[in-house]
This record gives sequence, C-alpha cells and structure tokens, in this order.
Amino acid sequence: MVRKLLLAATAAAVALGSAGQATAGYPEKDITFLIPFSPGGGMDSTARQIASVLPKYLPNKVNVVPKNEAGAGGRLAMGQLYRAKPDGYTISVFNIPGAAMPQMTGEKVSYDITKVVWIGRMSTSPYLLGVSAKSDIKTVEDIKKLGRPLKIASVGFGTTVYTAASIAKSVIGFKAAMVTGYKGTRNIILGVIRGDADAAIAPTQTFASFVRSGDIRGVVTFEEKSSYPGVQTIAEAGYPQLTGLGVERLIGAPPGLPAEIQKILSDAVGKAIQDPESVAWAKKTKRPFAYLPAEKTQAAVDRALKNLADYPDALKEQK
Amino acid sequence: MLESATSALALLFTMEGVLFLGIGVVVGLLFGAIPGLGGTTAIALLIPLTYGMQPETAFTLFGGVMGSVAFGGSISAILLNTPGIPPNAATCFDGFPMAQQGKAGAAIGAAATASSLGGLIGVAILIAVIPIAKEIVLLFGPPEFFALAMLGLGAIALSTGGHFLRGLISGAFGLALAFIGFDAVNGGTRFTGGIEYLFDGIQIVPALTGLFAIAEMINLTTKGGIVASEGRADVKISRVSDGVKAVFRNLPTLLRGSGIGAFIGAVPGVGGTVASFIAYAATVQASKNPESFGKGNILGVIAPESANNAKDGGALIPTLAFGIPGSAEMAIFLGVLVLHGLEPGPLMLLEHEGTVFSLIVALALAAVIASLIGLAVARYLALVTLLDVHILVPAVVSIALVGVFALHSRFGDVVVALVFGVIGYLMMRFDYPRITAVIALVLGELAERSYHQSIMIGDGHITIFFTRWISLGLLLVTVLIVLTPALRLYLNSRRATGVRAR
Repeated sequence: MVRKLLLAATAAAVALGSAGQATAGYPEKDITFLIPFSPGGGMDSTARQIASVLPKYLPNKVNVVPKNEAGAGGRLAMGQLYRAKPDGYTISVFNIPGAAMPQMTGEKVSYDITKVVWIGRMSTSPYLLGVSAKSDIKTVEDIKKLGRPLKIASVGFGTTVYTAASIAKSVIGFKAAMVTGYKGTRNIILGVIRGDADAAIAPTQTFASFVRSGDIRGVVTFEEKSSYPGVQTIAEAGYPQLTGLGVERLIGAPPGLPAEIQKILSDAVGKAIQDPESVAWAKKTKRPFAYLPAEKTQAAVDRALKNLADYPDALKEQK
Repeated sequence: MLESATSALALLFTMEGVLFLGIGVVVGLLFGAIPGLGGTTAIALLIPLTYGMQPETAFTLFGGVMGSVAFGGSISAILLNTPGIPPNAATCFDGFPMAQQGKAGAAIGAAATASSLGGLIGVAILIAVIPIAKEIVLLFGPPEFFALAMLGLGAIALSTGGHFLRGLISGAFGLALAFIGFDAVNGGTRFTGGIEYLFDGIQIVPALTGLFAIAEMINLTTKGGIVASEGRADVKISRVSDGVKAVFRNLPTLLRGSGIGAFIGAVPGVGGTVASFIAYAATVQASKNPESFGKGNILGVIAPESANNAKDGGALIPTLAFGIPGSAEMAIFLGVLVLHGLEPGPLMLLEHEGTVFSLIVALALAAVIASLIGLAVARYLALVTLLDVHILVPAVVSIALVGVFALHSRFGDVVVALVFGVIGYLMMRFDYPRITAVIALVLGELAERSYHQSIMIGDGHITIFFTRWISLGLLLVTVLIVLTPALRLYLNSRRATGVRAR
C-alpha cells in the first residue's frame, strides 16, 4: 500500500516536474509572430517594431520572427494560430472587432475568437469620420439632415471599418449606404476624395496626411480629445457612448497557453513598448502605443464583443 | 524637383550608391529569371537588411531590384518558354519560337533593349505627369477600372493565335478560377470547398509557374532532346546586336508598348501582366501580318518587354499622388517608407522629395544597367537551349517549386503549381492558349469588385458606366476589339466568295 502510494507520488512528482520543465526554460527557441497583413502598412510596422525589441525582455535570448500571413481578411493567420501548439512559440496580431466578425456573422471558420489567450494590447486607434473638403457636410447634424442615405466608402462587410460605420449609423440614427470592396483604408479615403462616396470612417492616423493636404475635412472624431483643431469629438456632438470607437490591435496566443508563459510574454510586450527605441519610433511615425496587460485586454475584447451584440445592425449585411 | 533629381544622382554616384544599386540589379535579375520568385519576394527578403540604412540608400537598392526584375524574367521566357515573373508571360509567344529557331541571342538582345528603353520612357512619362498626377488618379474610379478590366478581357479575343473559341474557353476557365476565395465586396469566402488554403483564392504566381514552367518541363520531357531543336548549329553565332537593332528599327512598337505599360501600370491592381499582354495584343492588331505572330516575330518580344518595364514608372503615379500602391512592389515600397518613419500619402512628394527621387533615378538606371549586363551575357545564356532535357528539367522544376514555396511558405502553393502544371501541359497538347487563362485570372477579381462598387456608387443603376466619358470610351474600344476577329473572318470569307464568284 505504502509502496503504491509512494509510486503514485513519484509519478505525480515526475508529471509535475515535466510540466514545470515545459514552461521553466521558456523560451528555448525562436518565437513566430504572425502578422495577418501584407508587409508595409500600419499594423505590419507596429508589429515589427515590437518584434524587434521583444527579445530584450524575454528570460532567454531568442528571436521573435515576424511572419506575414496576409489573405482572406486575416482568416488564414487566425486559422494557423488556432492550430498551433499552445507552447508560446506562436503568437499573432489581432484586429478587434474585425477578427471577431466572421464567426459573429455565422460564417464557418476554423477558429473561435472567444478562446484565444490574450497577451496584451499594442495600440488602439479611434476613428474619424471624414468627408471630401468640397463637401457641404460639416457637422453630425448635417448628416442627419441630409435627406438621403449617407454614402460611406468601406472595405468589405465584416471588417472593423465596416462594423464601426454600422455602429455609428445605428447610434447616431442616420441612413447609410455602403460602398464596399476597397482595398484598405487608404483606398476608401481616396474613394471619398474622388467622389465615389460622401464619407469614410477610418483610423485618425490614416487620415492625417489627407487632412493636412487639404483633400479631406474631418467632421467628427471618436477620440476622447480631438487631435484635429476645429473637429468636434463624438461626445461633444452628443453621443458619448461612441467615444473610443475604433480598432484595437492585440496580440493573442492559441487556446490552452499556460498562464506562466502568458505572463512572461505579456510583461515582455509591456516592457518592449516602453523601450526607448519603441518610444522614439512611435514618436517619429506618429503611431502611439497603448499597452494593456493580459487581463485588461481580455476585458477589452469582451467589451467589444458585447458592443457587437448590442448593435445587431452591425452584424447584418446591408442591401 | 530638378534639385532633388541632381542630388539623387549625386547620391547614386557615391561608392555606397553604386554598390547598392548594383546589388539590387543582380538580385533583381536572378529573382526575375527564376520562375516562382520575383520582385516582391526579393524586396520582402531585402527589407530586414535595410533597417539600419538611410531611406535613400534603401530605395536605391529597391529601385535596382524593381528596374531589373522584368528583364531577368524575359530571359527564361525566351529560353525556356517559362515566364520568370507573370509580366513576362506574353514574351513567351514569340520569344520562345525564336529560341527554337536558334535566334535566342537576338530575342534577348531585343528584350534587353526594349526593357531599358521602356523603363526610361516609363520614368519620363512619370516625371512629365507628376504635376497633374493627382488629377489623373482622380479621373479613374471603379467604373473606369471595370471598363479597363473589360478591355483586358476583350483583348483575349485578339491574341488567341487563330483559336478564337479555344481562347475564350481558356479565358472563361481563368475567370471561373478568379472567383474562388475571399469576396472583397460582401466579405466571406466562396467556392473553397472548406479548404482553408483556398480562402485566399488561386494565387497568380503558383498558377502561372505551373501553367508555364512545369507544363513546359513536362512537354520537354516527353519530347526529349534540347530546346533549340530547329536550329542547333545556329545558336552560338546568333547575333545579339540583331535584336538591339530591331528595336531601333521598330520605334512605333516600342513607344506603343511603353505608353500602354505606363498607363496600365498606373491602375492599381492590374499590373504588368495585363500591361504587357495588352501591348502585345495591340501590336498584333496594328501589324500588317498578324499571322506572323506566335511564330517568332521579334515585335512580339519588343512590345511586352517595353510595357512591363514602363509599368514601374506608371505604378509610381498613384503611389506618389495619394500613397496608393500601383503594384505589389509599390505596396512593399510604401511599407518601407513607414518603417523608415516616412509617411506615405498625398504629401509624400512634397515632404520626402529626396527619397522619392532616389527611387525614380535608381529605377531608370537599373533598367539600363540590367540590360547591359544582359547583353553582355546573352550569348552564354543562350547555350541553355542546348542543354539536354535530362539536366535541364530536374533543375528547372526543383528551382521553380522552391521559388513558389519561398514567398509564403505555404505547401498549398506547391500543390497549385503542380496541378496547374498538368493542366498547362494538357492545354499545350490540345492547343488551348494558356495566357488567356492567366489574364482572366488576374482580371476577374478586379472586374467583379469594381462592377459591384460602381453599381453601389451609381445608386443601383448600370447607367454609371455610360455617363462617364472615360468608362464609355474604354467600353466602346472593348466592343471594337471583340468584334475585330469576327469582322476579319467575315471580310475574308466575303473576299473568298467574291473570288470564287469571279
């Protein structure tokens, strides 16, 4: 009996020991950092900046290797992450709420966004509603009094940009007609300048140079504090509940990632973002970081998913 | 502007400038010549090396790659009937028959000269339109893109080598393939059978590598022997200078090709493959002996090669005017700008004039340097056509498949290349043109997307295509092009019956 117990105890100890070993030495080899976007562009460069300083703050010296896995609106990268072993050697960038949209709208996908283990938030970018500088629309009230649907240029249905426009439309209460299919937010802004549509709702940072060049006028910003002189915030326009509407850029890992590894990575990302090199980069490129640790990121995701459920219009395709 | 150009030149003529331009050109030539690789792969691989560089130096390197990759690809198109990159597909039509006749040297000479002059003309067009670049870009919206896609698809009718119906069937096949995968308008995926690889659609590079490179290797294997079967004794003495002279003797073809290349290059999402194809089709159309094409007419090399180098200048027009990439390479170029802390957008030309001009100057010089290198080694390269297939085939197949895998490290890409290799071989055997399938595959997505966008912009009315003069004009040209072969057939038969009646 005693022997049996001892045996069992030894077995348990061995099991514990090996479990401990799996995380104790982490990381022992290079970490793959999936980027569901083509090289170039805001997401890619932000992720690459973090990948380049992250190794400094990991317990062991390994590389963090960015891998662009663009295509099918991010579905390829998310599927790949979801299938990877939850050992901390594969992590990926996520764009919320866009990444949640396929499954929220009932599409069959090979991953479940609610089960992803979150490492942290890299940055967030509130949106701006902009119109052509030649447009008569100057305020939110003008949009409501337009007398016809506001034509909004957007990337495809089920993306963050499209979802934000749908939410804004239902909360503010105006009629909208979407013009979809543009490749990326720069192209939707070009579409507005060209006169394809009345307005675009896109990250404030993407709008910056178009506003400076005088091609685009900001109507309302979803920021807390307006970064464009003369452009009112959505709270000032009377819809404070829309403050912060925008894109959250997160880092996630496959379901089942051990909590120890989650903590190591989360802390490292937090430090990498405060690294002087990252701070200088953010200042130079005007792409500020906005770190959130793991548990707060989870809360942000939950909030975003709840928002989607609260505005069912955003999940329905417009005809 | 002039000041920036001269300072860009001054930078280029430093040791560092010459070194990086040279590296870019050599990398571009190699990556261009190897089927499956290409400019995008080369630039993506070089990006990490440029982190520590000045942006101007980095763009000298990238300009070198972009300016030389298309000529590199023409070499494999001519020698092996295998376009190195998609824009060389049209070069196979007449380039390869020339190689078979032992005139590979002349074909490469013509390609080199047309490439460098085309590149220079493209840059000249770019510089000429920079002051009005914004206005030009704004003239082309989704209705015009749709009309252009129709024009490209219509050009299929012109270049089917006498097999009008088969050309259309092959085009329809390509079109059907184009709709597999992600639907950019409505979101979601379709026709994928649940296979995750297909979510992103059939990729052009693996499909093209299969249809041309793998198919040609299967074909060679079944035939045995060597490529230059018709003119073995001639290969070594074939004069490269004949090709060079041919370009200068056919300046209208060169100018037409370059003009078309720069114009199509400026349309985001269309790119060099369509540009060189339309340049080829237009040259056939303008020729007095259209039946001589496809059998080794040197004009069939000059037109597409001038177009696919001129397209880089064109692709920079939307890139500089609004920060909208005109091609895959330009998309990466914009990414590199961000990486180096420069902001792409409508103010790019004003704020980063020096950087932009270093790229433009590098692009122009690279096209010339690449061609000079090409001319110098053309006669040795031509010897490839004397290699026995037992050596040639395994080498080309393995290099091509590694290249296909290299860009995204997706095994699915290799499978696509192999499947299309078999399809391509069958198409060769049964005399179905392969390029029309490729053109339709490239244009299908643009046609569908811009059609839906136009209808949304036009509040659900199809009239939008006919009330805008550019789109109307392009559609009329398309109708003319589609009717031409039928008209020619009708006229020929009337003439024939007329003769008989007499």
